[in-house]
Amino acid sequence: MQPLVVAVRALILVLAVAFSVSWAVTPVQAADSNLPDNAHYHIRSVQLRDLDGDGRPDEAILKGAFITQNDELDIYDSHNDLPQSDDWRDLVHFDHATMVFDVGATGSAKLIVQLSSGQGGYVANVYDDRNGDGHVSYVRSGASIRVTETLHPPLIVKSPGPWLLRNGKLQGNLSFLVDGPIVSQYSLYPDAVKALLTNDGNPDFYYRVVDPSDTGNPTYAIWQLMHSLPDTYAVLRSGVLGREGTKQMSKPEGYLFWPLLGHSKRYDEGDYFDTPPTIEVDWAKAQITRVGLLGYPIERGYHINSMRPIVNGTTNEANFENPMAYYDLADNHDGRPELHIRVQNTLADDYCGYPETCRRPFEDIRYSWKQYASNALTWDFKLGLAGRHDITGVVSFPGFSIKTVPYAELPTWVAQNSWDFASFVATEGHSYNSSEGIYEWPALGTPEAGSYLRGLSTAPSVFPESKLPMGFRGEYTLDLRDKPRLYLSPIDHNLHLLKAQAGVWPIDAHDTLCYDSLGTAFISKWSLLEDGFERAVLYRGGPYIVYQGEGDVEIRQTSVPAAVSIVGPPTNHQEWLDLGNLLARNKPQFAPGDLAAMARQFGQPVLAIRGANISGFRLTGSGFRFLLDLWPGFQEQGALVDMKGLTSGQYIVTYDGRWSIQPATPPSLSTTVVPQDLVQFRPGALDLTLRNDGSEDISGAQLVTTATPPEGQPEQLASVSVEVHGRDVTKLAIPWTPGASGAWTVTAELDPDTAAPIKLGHFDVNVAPPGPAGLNTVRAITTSSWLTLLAGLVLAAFATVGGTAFWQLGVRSSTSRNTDEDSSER
Amino acid sequence: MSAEVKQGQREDGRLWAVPVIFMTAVGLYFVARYEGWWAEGDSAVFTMYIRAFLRDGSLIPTRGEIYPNGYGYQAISLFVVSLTGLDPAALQQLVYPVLAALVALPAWVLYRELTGSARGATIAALLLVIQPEFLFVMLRSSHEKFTRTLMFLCLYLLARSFRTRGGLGFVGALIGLFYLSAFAMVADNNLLAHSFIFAVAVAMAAGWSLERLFPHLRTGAVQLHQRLFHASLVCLGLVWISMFYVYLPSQTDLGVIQSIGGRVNALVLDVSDEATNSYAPVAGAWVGRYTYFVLTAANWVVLLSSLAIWLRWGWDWLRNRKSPTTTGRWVLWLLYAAFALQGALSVVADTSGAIAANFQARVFPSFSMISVAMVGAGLTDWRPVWRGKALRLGLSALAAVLAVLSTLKATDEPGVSNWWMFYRPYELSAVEWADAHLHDSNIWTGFTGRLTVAFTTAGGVSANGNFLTAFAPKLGTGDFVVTDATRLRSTRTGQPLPIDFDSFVVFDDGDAQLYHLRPRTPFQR
Repeated sequence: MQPLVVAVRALILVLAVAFSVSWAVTPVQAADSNLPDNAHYHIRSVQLRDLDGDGRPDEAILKGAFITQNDELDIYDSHNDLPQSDDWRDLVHFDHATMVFDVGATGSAKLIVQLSSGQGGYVANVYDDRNGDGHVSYVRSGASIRVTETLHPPLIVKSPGPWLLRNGKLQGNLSFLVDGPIVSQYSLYPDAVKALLTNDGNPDFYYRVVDPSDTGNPTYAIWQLMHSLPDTYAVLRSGVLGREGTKQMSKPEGYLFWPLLGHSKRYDEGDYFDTPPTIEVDWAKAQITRVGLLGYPIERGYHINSMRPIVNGTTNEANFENPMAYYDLADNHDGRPELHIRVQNTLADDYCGYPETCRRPFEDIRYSWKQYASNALTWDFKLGLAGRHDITGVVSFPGFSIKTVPYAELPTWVAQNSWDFASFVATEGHSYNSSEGIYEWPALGTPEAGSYLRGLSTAPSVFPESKLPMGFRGEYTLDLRDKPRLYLSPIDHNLHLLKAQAGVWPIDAHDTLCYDSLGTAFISKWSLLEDGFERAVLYRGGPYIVYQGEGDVEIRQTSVPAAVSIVGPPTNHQEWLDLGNLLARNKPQFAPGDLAAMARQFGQPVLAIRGANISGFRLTGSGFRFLLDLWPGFQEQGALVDMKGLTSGQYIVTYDGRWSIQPATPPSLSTTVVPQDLVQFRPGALDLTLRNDGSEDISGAQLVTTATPPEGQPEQLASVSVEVHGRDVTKLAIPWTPGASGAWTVTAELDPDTAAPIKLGHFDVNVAPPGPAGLNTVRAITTSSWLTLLAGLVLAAFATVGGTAFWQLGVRSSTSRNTDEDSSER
Repeated sequence: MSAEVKQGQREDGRLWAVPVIFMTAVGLYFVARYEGWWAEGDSAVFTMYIRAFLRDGSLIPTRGEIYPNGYGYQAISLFVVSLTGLDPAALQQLVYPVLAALVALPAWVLYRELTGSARGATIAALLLVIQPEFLFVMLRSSHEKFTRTLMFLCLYLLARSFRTRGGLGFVGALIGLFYLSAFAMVADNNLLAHSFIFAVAVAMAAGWSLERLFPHLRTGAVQLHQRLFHASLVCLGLVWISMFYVYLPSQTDLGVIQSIGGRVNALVLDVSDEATNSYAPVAGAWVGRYTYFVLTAANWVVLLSSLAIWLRWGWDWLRNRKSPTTTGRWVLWLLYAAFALQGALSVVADTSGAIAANFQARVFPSFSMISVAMVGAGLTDWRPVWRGKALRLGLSALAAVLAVLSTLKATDEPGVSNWWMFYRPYELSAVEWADAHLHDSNIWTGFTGRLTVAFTTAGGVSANGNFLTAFAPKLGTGDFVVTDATRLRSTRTGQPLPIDFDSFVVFDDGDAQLYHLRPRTPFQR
């Protein structure tokens, strides 16, 4: 090989390696100091310089305290029309200038803004530090500044007219194009996406505020991730912010010369659309950190955050947060919303575990409202709702539209729609601060709940009761299938969720109040747990209140209805006022968890027993029944039930319009098993009948069925919780696909893992073998007879061709002639 | 030249027809065995790609699926479909299996070039088409049918150009045709082309090193290493031009592989992290414990015998300081080493367990292409002095048996395999009925993807947003197509049918049923 060629190849290799290594080891420099952020500024001196010797100034140097005590702003004017003035206000203009911000007067730029204007409007190219060295590199040639930090401006801001309007407000129609990582936008994304968002001349984000009135009061803003990502990336790609009502946007304040460099900390104190869009800069790091509207949330308005892009000219579907809306229910214009609705929606063709889609849309809704007066952003009640609805409403914007629930319709849409799951949370005894409502106990609180709602699993998830912290009262149902309604209970005088299945109120570190509806639409059981042990219980059954204290049983008669009032969640000012009045009129007069006091509000007991206990309370079709355990020496007072002559022991007490009491007999079970179509490898079942001849119920027992094959180990068929009422029959079908044919033995047992298991018996069942699977079956299924014959003939033919070819061409003896002599190296 | 020798040459010149006839017979058998009702994963998605091509009439269709690694196969298919009016499914299921015989032609000329013998070439080509892994990728209807053919053509043109001492025009034509074929191969599948170039480059590097260590190995071929070097470099350039300028979707697959190691594996070894090949041996795929080994006997026979020959040649050339008899054999020896190294690296590179599938589907067929030439050359040279006729008879019988076994393996014969390619029209009708009457549902179609790929081959995508599933039923699957073939497989493999005893039968044509599971919750309705 030629030495020159070798040398060139070696050089290429060395350069490639050197490039890779240098790229890999380039250090990221730390910030040089913690500079104060956006302090108000004053000018100490103004100096003009003539850079091109034409006798006219091209550069204005403003020294003073803008961010630190010693800062400098250099304004370069390549158009040669900088006025001869020592008033800095005359020198700062935005038509065509380059502003170099030297915060700390270190001789290096922390930010460079190149302003220009023309037919298309006003443009600002904003440069910050890209390589982590804490400043923006540039070179000056005369009055021209060329930024060498990067080839592409990290931020371009465009305006159709002057940056400031005549009314002193910021231009309301602005577009921001972000190219490369800007901290606030960047933080939304995982590393795999961040790696794609580079400063390469192709904008990564687009942010636009729109003011149709041209008065400096934008009505909406839209942002978009412009980098195309695979559909499977579950990241936010677009968003819209909308302002409702008549509140005006303020003038830019505390800004650093250019009105887009606003006072971000002051802006943060308000709501979005309260203050104009801004560019926030971390001057210590010389980096742009936020772009757009600041402040959160809003008293009247909404925003949408979607994983789908917004495409102009179409009606776009949006998922994730569509919408998040805020309402001034109190109509007090105090800057604090009283209602927050967050609709987290998943669309039918969204990915729910690649490559499957969700198949049906579903929503997880947070509907939080503030009912009691407060100056802070607090919330008192929350409804969590989950359901499966198509969002069909359309909100139009200039150039595009979005499928969403329109702002004005959203509260009614939530309140009037039917939902599958619901939770209800009330804050008790403390204020709850948050910008997005009450987070505790969402309706779809667990992944299992989502699976159950989508019909993917059959087991309703256990609601995470234990996760409700102290100071919250919560109720839930996984089978609402109705409009969400609340009711005020005349028993505990609290607001409850209609059709709640159960609930919990952790009162303090020891006491917890538990609720149970006992299968009705209203809470029918209150039980107080002290350190996990039940201390008192109160039941509502028909016209009676049954209270169980420690050794005391009291029954009172009442005629109060199940609910003082049934209402929907407040959707407007009037409903909000009405609910407030209802709550104010019905405040509880007893301490939370004082079930005895709760019972006493209904007068004297019609039956009081000292030395007794009740258990197994359940509602029946026409009343209720329970097991009464009379202790030795018990004393009764009242004539509700004829207890004459009763001795200590257990009794079944029944109310079905009239009272009766009978001695209890323990459960007595008998079982029968009938096999259903049992064939090996095919789905079948065992029909199992449990008969209880005793009067006591069996509740929550674990029934375990096991099958033992003719040869091999037993296999468990099912383990299910069963309930067999006294003198009643329960039927079950146990699904079973036998893995072997022949005679099996099935065993059924109740509570096998407890100290007192109940064996229900052994049963012989016969499993038939499946159909034939031999070659004849294969042939019959795979092809027709004549083709089998043909295929066989072809197979034999080519086997013969192969064999013959080898015979003719294969191994030659040492004496045979080689016909290939002349075929090599022709 | 004597008349006898001339006669011998004429006879030798017709030997190419033997592997072509043989391969045609295999193709016909495959089509006849299932009456054309066969479907397979890659073939099904390529049918989809062809349809998208046909519908859109552009290289990168705006609607439908796009094959990220190349467009050659779709383009050729579009041409054939447009010319003949064939339905893409008919082309894929009936025509392409028979057209697989085309590969035997470039294979034969390459082997003649490498072994220096028409007889050796014929033996090698016959051995090639009884390699079950190679046979499988050629019979099914994916890009490999053309990629492998072009691979043979490239190797032939390359090897032929080494031996040429003719005029510049002839050499130029060979080189020009080589790069044209190489570009066509890249257009077919850039990853497979990339790995092929890697193997050629390795062969070049090994040859260059060995010839410097052992000068007697220099065969006098014209600028062997320079040409191999330039061929590798230019082909690499063609791949990158294709990826970054001609067919941009080919960057997609590399883009989604996050690790550098993964990208290197994909480019150099054509091994991906995903085990999606339907030909992968799975537990219970064969009726008996040793069935797989018996059916793949041709692999092992060729593997072991080619290794023995390679070692023997290496021993002669490196230890005994003999010179290679022809340039072709020297190149063959080097290519064998390169493809073997590629196979070995694939095994080492694999950490995901996906190697079994990838090795069989990609690397082993490539290795087979070269190893059979070693065996062909070895058999040609072999002059046994003892019981020559008996050996000849034995080898011929063995070849016949191996041909049958390999064909059974390559066609997933249901008599011996539980991993089936066949389907029956009524099974497809049941799936189509289910798709027409359900919407946004998961529809289970069987223990393997047999009916889902049949559905894709026949029509493409669900019209009602249904998702056809197979294997273990996915969470939330409520509808199940169960056919007599599904029941047969259940019985043979001991897999219970995944439906409930009380499922609703909503469709039943006697041989196929659609079951709908009874809702157990309000949200399953």
